[in-house]
Amino acid sequence: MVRKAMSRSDRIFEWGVDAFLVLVLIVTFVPMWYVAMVSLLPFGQQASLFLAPWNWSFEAYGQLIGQPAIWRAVLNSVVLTVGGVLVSLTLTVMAAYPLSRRELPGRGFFVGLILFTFLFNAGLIPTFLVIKDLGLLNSYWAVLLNGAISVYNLLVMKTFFQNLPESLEEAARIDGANDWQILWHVILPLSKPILLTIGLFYGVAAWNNFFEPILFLSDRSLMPLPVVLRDILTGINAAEYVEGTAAQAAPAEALKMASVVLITLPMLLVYPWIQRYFTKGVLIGSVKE
Amino acid sequence: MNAAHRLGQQIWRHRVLYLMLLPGLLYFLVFRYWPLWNAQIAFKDFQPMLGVWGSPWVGGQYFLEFFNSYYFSQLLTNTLVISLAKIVLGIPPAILLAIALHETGRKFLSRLVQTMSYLPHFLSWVIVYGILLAMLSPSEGLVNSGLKAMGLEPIAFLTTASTFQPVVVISEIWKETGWSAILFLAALLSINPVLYEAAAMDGASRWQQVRHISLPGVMGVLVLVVLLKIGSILDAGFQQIFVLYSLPVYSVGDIIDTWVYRQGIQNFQFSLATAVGLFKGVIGLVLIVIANRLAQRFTGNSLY
Amino acid sequence: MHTGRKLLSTLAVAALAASGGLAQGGNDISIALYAANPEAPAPPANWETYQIIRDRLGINVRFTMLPTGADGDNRIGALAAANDLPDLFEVRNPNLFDRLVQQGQLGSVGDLLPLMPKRKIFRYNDTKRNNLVTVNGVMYGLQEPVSLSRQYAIWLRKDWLDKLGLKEPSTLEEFFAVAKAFTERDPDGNGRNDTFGFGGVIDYDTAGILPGLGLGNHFQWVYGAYGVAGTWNYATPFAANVRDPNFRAATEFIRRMVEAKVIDSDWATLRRADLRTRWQQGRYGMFFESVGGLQAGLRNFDANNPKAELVMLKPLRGPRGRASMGTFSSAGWLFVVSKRAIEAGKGPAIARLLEWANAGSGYYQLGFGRAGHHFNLVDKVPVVNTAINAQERGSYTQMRWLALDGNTFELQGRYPRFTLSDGRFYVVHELMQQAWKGGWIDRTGDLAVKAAPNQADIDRYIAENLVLFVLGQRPINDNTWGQFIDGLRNLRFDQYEAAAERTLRAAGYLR
Repeated sequence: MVRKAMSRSDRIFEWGVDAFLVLVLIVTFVPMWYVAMVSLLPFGQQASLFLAPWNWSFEAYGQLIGQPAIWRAVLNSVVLTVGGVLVSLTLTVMAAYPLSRRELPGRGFFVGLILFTFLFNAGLIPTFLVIKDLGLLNSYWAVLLNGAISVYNLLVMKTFFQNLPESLEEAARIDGANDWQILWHVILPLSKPILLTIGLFYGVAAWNNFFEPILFLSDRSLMPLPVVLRDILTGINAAEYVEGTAAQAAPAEALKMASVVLITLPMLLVYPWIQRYFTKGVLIGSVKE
Repeated sequence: MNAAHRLGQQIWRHRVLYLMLLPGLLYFLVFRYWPLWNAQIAFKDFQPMLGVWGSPWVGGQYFLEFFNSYYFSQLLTNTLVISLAKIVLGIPPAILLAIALHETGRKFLSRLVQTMSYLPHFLSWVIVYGILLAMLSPSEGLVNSGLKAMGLEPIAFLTTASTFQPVVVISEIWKETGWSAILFLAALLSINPVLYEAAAMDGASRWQQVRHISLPGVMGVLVLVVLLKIGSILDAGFQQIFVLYSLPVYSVGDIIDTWVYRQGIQNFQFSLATAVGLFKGVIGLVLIVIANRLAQRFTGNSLY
Repeated sequence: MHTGRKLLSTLAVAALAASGGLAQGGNDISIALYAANPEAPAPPANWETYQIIRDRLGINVRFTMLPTGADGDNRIGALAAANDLPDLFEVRNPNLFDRLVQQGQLGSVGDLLPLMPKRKIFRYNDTKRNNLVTVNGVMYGLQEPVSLSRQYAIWLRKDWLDKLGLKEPSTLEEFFAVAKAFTERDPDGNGRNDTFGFGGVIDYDTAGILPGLGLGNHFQWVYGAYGVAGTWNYATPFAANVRDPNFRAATEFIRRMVEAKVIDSDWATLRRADLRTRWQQGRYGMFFESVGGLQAGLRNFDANNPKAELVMLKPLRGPRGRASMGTFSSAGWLFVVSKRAIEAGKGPAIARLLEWANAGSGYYQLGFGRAGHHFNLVDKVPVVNTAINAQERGSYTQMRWLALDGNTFELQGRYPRFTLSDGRFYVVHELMQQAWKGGWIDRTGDLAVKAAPNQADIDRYIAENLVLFVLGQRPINDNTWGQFIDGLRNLRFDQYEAAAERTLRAAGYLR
């Protein structure tokens, strides 16, 4: 944008804009920072926003990592997340591509069929009965399949495919490629941003999912991290008749917050890599042309 | 005959595409439409031994039970108040943030704020509950430490009726503002820059440009967003309330979904739970169809 | 990525196999019990016990562990909705039991009793107890005798008491004074105002005692001191305790404690696990805890408070000299058999398994693990081998509730002497017996009372109002209390009350 010498009011405006952004930054950052500080709190110390690094205690993390149950939950979460992304992404791409082809007979009907499920949900119990009838109770397939396709993600991806230049497909078709080959060799290589974005959405949803595992799984050894985290935070499954647990040298608050940090960490690691793609992907997909 | 023949040819020509579509369609039929069939237990006295089809019909008995329940009006009020507060108080900050991101001259700041403010969207409510505990706990929370340092009494924000709804709404705003801003930012980016240049030439101040170019530019998206939210106005956020609420704040925090959960899942009244789910679904469908019509008539924008 | 998917499907298949959905035939039995040790994992697929049961009894067992609390109830409820109940399972929620009976999902166990004669004589010979699970003359459950209820008590930091030169409280008023001193006079001497007189939370877990309508287990002793513990007053005229003026007086006492800040300021949001960590950290002068919970936390407590001494308070006396820790039921775990299992002819195998678990090698195998490894018999007492870590022992004995019956040797084995780092010790099973003498009131009949159709609303109404009163969010005066009691009518509470009286009278619990 070309900008001329600024007037006084414009300078105040710019100052206000930047101040607002800094405020947003602080408001978002401080709670997360404080959680990290509490998780590093040594026993017998008062929590504060600025805990000196030489006072940091990693006792709480040590205790969590020392629990085999945590590692099992991590493994479960990884399986559910990786599996979830694979299943969801595959199904979504395979459904979105045909629906993005305007000339497909019946396309409107199919889109309507799918859109209706977005507007109207049958609820918990009827869905549970289906999972049971399929024999999927206490199986990861129940968790993976039940939420496999998000209508929203499907529509975003369909829009993205629609916006790709048709000339490329035409060229491939003239070269004798069939629809599989076009999808695989032409469309998907162009769709990296949307695949990463939607993949992230599915991955995050799977990583955070705690309701479906509780509902569909019964073996505690199958439970993923969010369920364990909820139990730690609320003490729901704390033992009534336990015969001895590890000594607790870290404050309870530190333990809770360390578990919050641990479950957030993988997301924080993946997030910056994908973030630059997803703004782009969402921007293209979400604005209705 | 000829037309049918041509259609058949068309379909055969696209057989690969249909094959591709098949797994997705199967998914929707099995996991979304089959439950719809099962939802008939809302009108039945569901006996698992007899199955969905074999259970005896009871008509609208469970719907009446819900409407006549002691807490019905309270549930409906809480649901609507929390939902509306989230819409009314949640959208302006998102628009504000989008405009600020669009207007700032500092690329680095803009990118940093985007990265930070989108992040909470990806945190589950269980995690946010953990963060809220750290901030609001009466004995250890940061906010209450501040209150105590100022010589004030600590406040049990999560267990006091008058503060619970604000906590629900503010935590929702904290979590989702950045993410909602993306849509508005996209709308702002699609405004033709020539408009701003022309306005600047005419001597419009930055603030005037925002008012007369940016704000009208996001109207379309705003309508879509409001539409979507109105369609789901009876969803006040089950996961959020479920992890945040407790006995002392039931009177302001209990919403339809949490009641259904307690009555249906914890008290094993499956037909009742299904009836209420159906009630919600129908209301939501009707609302979104009406809202969509209105939007189409007045703004030309529509959801579907 | 290919390997990732393979891994996934293998896991899913393993999960499916473990669910018990594959068990078929008269000797394949699926069992679901609440976790006996929730912090330990379920036993592995190659659990030794499976093989032992196969060799000895010719039965293939598939065991599923349910999460404790509402999550586990919900699992059973969901399986019931799916008509997919396990063959033999545990029910802890009386509402759930009623519903399963009403839906015809439970099998009659009357025919199984002759097949397990020793277990019957030992555990199912009490008519009154059996009547709790008998509907229209059919017995739908195996109601175990109680094993571990009444083990709750208020514990006091004797070292703090001595330091402040105070005397052990025996009445509510003395309790209040001591609690105030513990809160305000810095008993731990760290110069910070971070201690509380009393630690208790809102907790309705019914595994131990009957919480009654109201604020739950941890505050029953206050109502007990006013003679209104539990939901019902079994005396004549019969009525719900909530209507008694003493109920209001007890609530006002709790309000005073909250107002004076002698209860942890976070108490309304805390769960049992938080309570445990906090007393272990030495923040409470007095706290509510079970003997089992105390034992589990003693090591941490000792590490954090090496010089501390805990003593059990006798139940505190109210203004008219009444005292009781609360109400309890003399009925223990409840095991039921699904109708499908009975129809599939699995009854005899289930009876065989239960009889084996009643005493002797089966009892020890399920209750304590492998002899000579997990435990050793010393003078009839199964002494747990603490060299094996608690997780492994816990996992190995997840099915122990099928076996344990609360006999003296068992208690000595499970609750042995606990030695602190400086050589002092607690004899935990003696503490257990001491806790039993807490003036507990037998209200087993409460279990016979059927849930009202709007039970969830009734529970909520009373609990919510009491919490608001206690927190001071609603003042307690004649007007507000009157409104609270009058409001019961809108919930058809009178009908619930009348039905309860009829049931209790018919079952012989009222004179």
